[in-house]
Amino acid sequence: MGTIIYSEDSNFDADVVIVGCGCAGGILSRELSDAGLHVIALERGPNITSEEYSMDELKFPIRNKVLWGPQDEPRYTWRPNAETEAERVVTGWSGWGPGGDHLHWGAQSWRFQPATFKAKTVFGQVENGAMIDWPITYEDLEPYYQRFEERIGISGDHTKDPNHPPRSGSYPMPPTVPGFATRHFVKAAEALGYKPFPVPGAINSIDYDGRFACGYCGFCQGFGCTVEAKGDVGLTEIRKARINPNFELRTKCRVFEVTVDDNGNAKGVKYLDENKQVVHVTGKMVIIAANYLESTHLMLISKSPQFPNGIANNHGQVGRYFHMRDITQLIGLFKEPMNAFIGPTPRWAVNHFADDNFSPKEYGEDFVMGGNITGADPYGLAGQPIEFSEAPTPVGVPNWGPAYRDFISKAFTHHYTTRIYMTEPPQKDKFIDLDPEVIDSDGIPVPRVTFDWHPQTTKQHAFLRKRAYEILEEAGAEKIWGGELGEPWILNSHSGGSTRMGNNPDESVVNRYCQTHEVSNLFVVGSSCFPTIGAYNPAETVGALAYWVAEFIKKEVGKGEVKA
Amino acid sequence: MNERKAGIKYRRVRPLDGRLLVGYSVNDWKAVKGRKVSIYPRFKETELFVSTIKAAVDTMFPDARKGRVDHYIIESLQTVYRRELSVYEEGVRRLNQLANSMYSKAFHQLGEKGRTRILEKLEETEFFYTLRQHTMEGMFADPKYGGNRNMVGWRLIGFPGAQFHPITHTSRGWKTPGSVSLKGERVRDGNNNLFRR
Ligand SMILES: Cc1cc2nc3c(=O)[nH]c(=O)nc-3n(C[C@H](O)[C@H](O)[C@H](O)COP(=O)(O)OP(=O)(O)OC[C@H]3O[C@@H](n4cnc5c(N)ncnc54)[C@H](O)[C@@H]3O)c2cc1C
Ligand code: SF4
Repeated sequence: MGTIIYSEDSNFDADVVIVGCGCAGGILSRELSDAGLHVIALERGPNITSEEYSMDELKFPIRNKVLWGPQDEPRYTWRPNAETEAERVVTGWSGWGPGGDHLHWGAQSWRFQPATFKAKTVFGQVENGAMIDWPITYEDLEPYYQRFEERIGISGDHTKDPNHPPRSGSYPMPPTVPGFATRHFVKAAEALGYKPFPVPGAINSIDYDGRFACGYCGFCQGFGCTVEAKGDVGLTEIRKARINPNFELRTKCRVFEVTVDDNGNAKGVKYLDENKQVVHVTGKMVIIAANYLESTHLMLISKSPQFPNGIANNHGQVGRYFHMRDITQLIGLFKEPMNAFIGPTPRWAVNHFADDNFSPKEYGEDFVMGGNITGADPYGLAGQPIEFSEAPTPVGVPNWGPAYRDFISKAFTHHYTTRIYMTEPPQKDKFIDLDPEVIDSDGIPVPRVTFDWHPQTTKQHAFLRKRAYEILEEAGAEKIWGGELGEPWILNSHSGGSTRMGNNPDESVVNRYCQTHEVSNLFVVGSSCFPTIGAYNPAETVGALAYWVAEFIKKEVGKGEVKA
Repeated sequence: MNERKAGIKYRRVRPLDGRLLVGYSVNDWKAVKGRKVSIYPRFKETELFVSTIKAAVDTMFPDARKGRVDHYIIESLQTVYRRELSVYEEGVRRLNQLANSMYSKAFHQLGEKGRTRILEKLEETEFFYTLRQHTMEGMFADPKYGGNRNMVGWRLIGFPGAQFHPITHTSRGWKTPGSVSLKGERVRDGNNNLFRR
């Protein structure tokens, strides 16, 4: 396994062509260009700089300007199972620009726990389940988690986390200061016997790497940080890669095909440039890092005589085992002001019920895996007022008119929430393919997502909601509501499975180095490679995986296979 | 055009870890794609349109007119929300039709009770959903967009606006003494008892 075979053509434009320059693509851009390889990264978004950022809720998370692709383009269609026609067309492209979704992330920067990598061994198989062990372990990834934390700048205190896996160093910065609401939540959680601790955050608690310390503005998740205190690959890795003369970033380039030579090796990619002209750029290897849905989609639309069902898909594995986990939040209303909107997005966590930290059986439950609980988060991405107006209201309170005016005038400052991050077992019959009908404005068929919650999900949800409810109750909330299970068509970014890694080409798309089984010079990097999603947010694992893949490619190159 | 049922066919949601999504039924999607969006000439709002919108936003959220939310909406319909113009035109027509058949008056001539009863009838429509969303935007977006005048929305709910926060703001019982806009305008709350909190 491993050896990269290149196309026999001799005139390449680059050593490496990277599709998508977000969290994974940005890291690979830096690592490979630092190592002297000639890298061309293609990014569909425009060049965005932090001068464009502002504390403007309407512009950023509401109208989704600047940091997101077009919002009236169809992104995918959805149906609950393969027997149904597509039921929904969903519009709104995801994050773009060099940095991708990472530019506006919530900066909650977690390592997955060792159990997630051994999901099948630790949790067993569920009905209709497609659980497997990852072909890599936590120990394999540990040094790369550490590298991510140092490069992006993570603040935290692992000694307070009662379930923290072994690690090689500390976080490079101490945690930020918890606001009043968070201290209130922590007290209640401790009274119930839990051990809450600060969520590790890509938030500068002190000046770091030439960027300022956080100013607690609260315009955080869903925004770019006006003082660059919130770390992301755009401010760190991509900024540094761009100093390298052997790195070229082409923006406003939408890739629509990975091309192959007669032997079935990847040859390069075709993209539509700003003027909708088709350009073919060639490379000795191609890395797809376009976010889980777009990466899977690009493989499926890259059809050729060698790969009639999409590139590296002759085993029919691309798109299979798609799964997403839900996140929901329970709202508590208090007598005194909480001002949960102040401060950066990462708050504190209770991980007592996450992954294998507890046994559902001891509670008389028969679901597997658990979920994580955080608090005191404001409602919504960052708790700004327009988003708060989208929150459900308690029973008996209308969501408009005078009674609503009175409600929001108190609830905005007097609430906080507990967020529930669930887990979802991958299933055999859930997948992504191409929609037979719906096309986007470039005439490209959109991906069709066939997905519904696993039957165990309602049980896990009820259990975790109850635990989160108890914390708010203990905290003395006057009213507690919300926190319902989300709907399966509403895709968030905590998704995986659709180009999963594994040792067996009959049940996975890529190997342990994210190299496709069928095309040795084609890599796919991102959460679509995760066989399972743990209880924690995915981006740090996406990043660690990118460093791990970069290390592998550098070693292969070192063997003299590629001349830089 | 039939009344588009929100909640069933047309849904706008924001997953907790993602961007805003709008979900359509396949047929609705085809209709939306086919909607004509005229860029020129500027849409000429009629007097009836303006007074209906004024009355409607105030029914949706009392004091919205004080925040010039109607102004925000009409301005946005000329620019970023051009696509939603047909939804508004249809909605305004329905509001007046109902006002006419129920009370033999125009919508804006009715008292709060009558207006509320009519708006209730449209609660499940795309128009209602859009109007509610835009009313909240006009109430709580930065004043530079034409609504939230004198930061009335922010002062009502105790939102300090666009600012960094010193550590003292994380103390128990902190209340903002006023709000700051992106342009740096400040309003102090003082004893302005128009805005309860
Ligand atoms: C609002 C929000 C908050 C989040 N908060 C957190 C958090 O707190 N913690 C956490 O761990 N995770 C969080 N996430 C998820 C995190 O951002 C993603 O897991 C991470 O960015 C994924 O990295 P990626 O490289 O796979 O994709 P991205 O970072 O999105 O990068 C993919 C890039 O590929 C580009 N691209 C796509 N298709 C093409 C194409 N055809 N041609 C050219 N370019 C293309 C895109 O424009 C994009 O720039 C959040 C996500 C969102 C949306
Ligand atoms: S809260 Fe801190 S990190 Fe977040 S956007 Fe504001 S200043 Fe930046």
